[in-house]
Amino acid sequence: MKKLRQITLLILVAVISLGIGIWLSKLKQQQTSAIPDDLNATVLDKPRPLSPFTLEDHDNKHFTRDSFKGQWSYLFFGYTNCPDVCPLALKVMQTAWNSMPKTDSAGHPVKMYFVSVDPDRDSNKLLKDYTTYFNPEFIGLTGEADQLDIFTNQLGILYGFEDKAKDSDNYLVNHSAQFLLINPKGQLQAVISPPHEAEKIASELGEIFKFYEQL
Amino acid sequence: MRTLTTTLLILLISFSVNSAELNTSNVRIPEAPPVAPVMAGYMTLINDSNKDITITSINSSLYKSVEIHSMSMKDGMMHMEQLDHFTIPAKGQRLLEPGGYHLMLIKPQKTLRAGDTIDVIFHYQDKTTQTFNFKVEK
Repeated sequence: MKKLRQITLLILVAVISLGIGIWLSKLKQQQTSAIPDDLNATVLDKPRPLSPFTLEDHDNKHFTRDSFKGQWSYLFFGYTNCPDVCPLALKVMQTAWNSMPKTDSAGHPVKMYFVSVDPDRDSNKLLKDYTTYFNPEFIGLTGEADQLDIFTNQLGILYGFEDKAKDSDNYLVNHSAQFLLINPKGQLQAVISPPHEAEKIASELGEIFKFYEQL
Repeated sequence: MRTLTTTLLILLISFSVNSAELNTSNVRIPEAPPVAPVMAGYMTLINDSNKDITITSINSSLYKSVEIHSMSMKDGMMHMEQLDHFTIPAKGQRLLEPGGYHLMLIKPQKTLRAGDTIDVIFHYQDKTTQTFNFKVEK
């Protein structure tokens, strides 16, 4: 009799555990269902806050993590000696720019930053001339190597120099080719991996805005 | 008689030398910011001949140097590499295209705008050369 009671209890515990399990997984589904899953962009359900860094924009002004607050910021990382990937990405963004929403419903504007990971060759002046060629609104950013490392490491952006000899200005730079999107709280909100399509970048921004407003 | 033989031989050699020629389509250089230290060149290279054609070097009077680069995703980064030769197989074709193999045109000697045309000379392994006319496009 005691054994029967033990078995009944065991079954009861098993059934309750199963029930809780199903309920939890449904709850999780409901929570994650808000993330638009048919997007090319990877939208983070938990946006990642940034740790402090100091860069400079192409007008020689300090640019810190607080500079991202109150606006949406696209980032692309590269260098002006890049013949193919960087101009291609900036042209795609320029095309997307013409058809994407310019603010979210709260009025946060959208900005585009081209971050040079090659400050030895890319002066702020060169970066400004280069970046604004694609769109006068685009902004160049760069900084000291250690600050660029702090900035890129936390964003999962990789870069490295190929055969960079001292006093030589002839070397290649390997680099990540994602666009990143920082939300108005200054947190990493989305990652857009190549190959980049202007139409998708433009149309998905509205979806990302909607998701952010639900957070 | 000897002169005639020599002449024929020279003609034959020059004919065979000239035979290593590529056909092309979509030959273009996208316009770049005037301050850009480099530009890219794209084209489709078509080899209708029965022999492989190997490009060993490239030059143009409007650039300090011209290189052929491969492009690949390696360790999460876009990775470019200079190639010392580039072969278009017999009866085959290869693409120089955005995000793939491309020409890297280094240090333009003047500002090049959409509409400008640029002669680029390809040197082949058999010591022949061929000039292609690239158009700068917006």
